[in-house]
Amino acid sequence: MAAESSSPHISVAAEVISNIRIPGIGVIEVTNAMLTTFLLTIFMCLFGIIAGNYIKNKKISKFQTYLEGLLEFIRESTSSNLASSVKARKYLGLTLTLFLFIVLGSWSGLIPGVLALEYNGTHLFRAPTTDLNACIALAIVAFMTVQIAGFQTQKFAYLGKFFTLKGGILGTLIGLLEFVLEFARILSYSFRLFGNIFAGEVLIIVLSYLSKDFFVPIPALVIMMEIMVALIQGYVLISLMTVFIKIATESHDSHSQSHA
Amino acid sequence: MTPEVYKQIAFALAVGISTIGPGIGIGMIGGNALNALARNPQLESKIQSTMILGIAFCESLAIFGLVVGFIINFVK
Repeated sequence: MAAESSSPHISVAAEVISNIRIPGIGVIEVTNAMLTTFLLTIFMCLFGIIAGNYIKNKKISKFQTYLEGLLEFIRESTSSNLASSVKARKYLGLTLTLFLFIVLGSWSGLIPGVLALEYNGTHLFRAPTTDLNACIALAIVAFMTVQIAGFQTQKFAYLGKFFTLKGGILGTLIGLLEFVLEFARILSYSFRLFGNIFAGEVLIIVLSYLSKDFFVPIPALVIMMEIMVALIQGYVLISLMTVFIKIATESHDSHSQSHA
Repeated sequence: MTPEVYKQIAFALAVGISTIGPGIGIGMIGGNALNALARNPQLESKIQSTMILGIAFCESLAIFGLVVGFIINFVK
């Protein structure tokens, strides 16, 4: 499709590559982002199993050193944001998974040639994080984790932060505003991730199109930048999630001033 | 002028105008982080991670404009 048209083909929504008909339920539209997500999930599971086996060995290999560096980095940032290493151990599984999924999901679209593969006139692969649905799903996971953490530590006193009669009419209004802001975070998490990664992909596509007559590999430089952007976005999402968990688990009497 | 032209102008304006604020904001964050770093260089890692978080908050505003622009231009 992109080959014949004079301008590059860019689609904001993920494209449907095939319809799977399930009797009694209906038709499931399989998009290219879903296919990549499935493959990535399988890859991450295998990676986890292999990495787990490596760590059981007594001999320390180079691979294990890299893995421990990654684990240590996420553990450090989680425990410094939560200000407690016990809580950090509780949320480490989630933060590490989110980080790895975002980073590997964004990198999967940067592998040269992967996005050029076509099937029935549509692209066969698409990075999961350039699909707004996947980004909203990740944002909802982060949002629900924050709310559940708040309820677990404060029980129903957590709702007192939003629905309060303290501080007169202004206090009530600010509480309601906080309630709306809590939901606005889903939007801000998901748009930040989607916008950053998708803008990078569009930049690569447009630059590849503009520089197709030159020998200089300009898109390669952008790909190097996008590798960094994916790492930063993964780090930002888990940092924000842990910071909000810390705010939600604190008692609202020690009011902290941090809005997203 | 055709609707296509209006769409492209709207895309350019959405991205261009929404970049002004975050540009100023990121400049202030970077400058103040350098100030803080010059005062106490031993806090480098802490300042750096806080700075990146602040920049991500700021940048997300520009990204919202960019997403709106994409939706204006590419969604049929």
